[in-house]
Amino acid sequence: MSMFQPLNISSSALTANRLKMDIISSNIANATTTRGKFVNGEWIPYRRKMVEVEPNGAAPFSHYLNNEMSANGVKVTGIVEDQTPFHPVYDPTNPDSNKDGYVMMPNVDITKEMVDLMSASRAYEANITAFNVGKTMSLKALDIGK
Amino acid sequence: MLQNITILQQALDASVLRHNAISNNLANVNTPNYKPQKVVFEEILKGELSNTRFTGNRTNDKHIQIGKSIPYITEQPVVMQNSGNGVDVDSQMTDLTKNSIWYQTLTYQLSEEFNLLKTAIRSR
Amino acid sequence: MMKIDQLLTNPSAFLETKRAASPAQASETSFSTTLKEALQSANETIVNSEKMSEKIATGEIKNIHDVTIAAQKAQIALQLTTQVRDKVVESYQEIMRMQV
Repeated sequence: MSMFQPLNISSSALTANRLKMDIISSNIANATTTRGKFVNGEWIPYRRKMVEVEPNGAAPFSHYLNNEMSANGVKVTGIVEDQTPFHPVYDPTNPDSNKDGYVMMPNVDITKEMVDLMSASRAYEANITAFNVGKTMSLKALDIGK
Repeated sequence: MLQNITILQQALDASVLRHNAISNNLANVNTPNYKPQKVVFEEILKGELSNTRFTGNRTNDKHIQIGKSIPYITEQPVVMQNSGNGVDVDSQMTDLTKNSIWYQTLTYQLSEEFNLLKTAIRSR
Repeated sequence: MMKIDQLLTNPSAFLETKRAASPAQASETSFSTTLKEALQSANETIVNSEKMSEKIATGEIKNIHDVTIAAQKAQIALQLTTQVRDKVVESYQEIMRMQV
């Protein structure tokens, strides 16, 4: 634990939430991308991506017993692809349509992405507030004795 | 006089720890299965001041501690969201503000203690 | 630091030095030992503050308020020590000026 621990915790969350917002933007931007990946001579649509997070430095069990928990912020463990099926859309004129005239569209739900975006944005704001409070407190500590 | 300073210093330690715990809760507001942390301090201090607390003597570091004399972080087993997360953002934001005011009051009080000592030394 | 505090709140510590003239009591708390101890604890406080400065530079500090509090304690210890020294020198000079 260092003297900048309060700021480090908040900044880890800012990083995580910004990455989350970037990934959501990418999902929205590619909501109709039918050519995401080229596999075995065939185009596969874009797959929705998600960010996985977990508390940084998870405490071992003995710490739970002895109440020696520590606060270390949040950590992004990886970006995973949503494995839900693609949406078939009937559009025979589309160059990527199959022989029945259906085009496979990415499994991105714009409404869901917007909700996630708002949630990430609010979390970002909350952590900025926490950061500023931590900064004020640290600066106040310098005024002791004045 | 100096005991006061020690108590205020311990309270400042606890306040920083509490800020860390609250920041951590806010940082993990979207982490699945995260349980919010809280800091235990006031009860400990009251017990210490009135000498009604006792702590278990440990002969080995691996023993479970009974009672602690320093502020520590503990987890609250609550669930607020579908993901198993237990963070209530509104109450955390309130606690954040409360804790900040508490910290600033403590620093003010500490400054006054020091100024009292300085005046006592200077006067003739 | 605690010793200085006792000195502040218990002025009789000064008075007892007169009685310390008899050799039997000299081993108890003479003014010089009290002063020496007070100086030592003041010095410890200041050294502690210096160690803190070292720790800031190396980034080992846990909490910022620990630094400011240590600095304030050192300042007060030093002020008290110089104040006591001034008083001692002053009273010594007063005695020296006395006409016998």
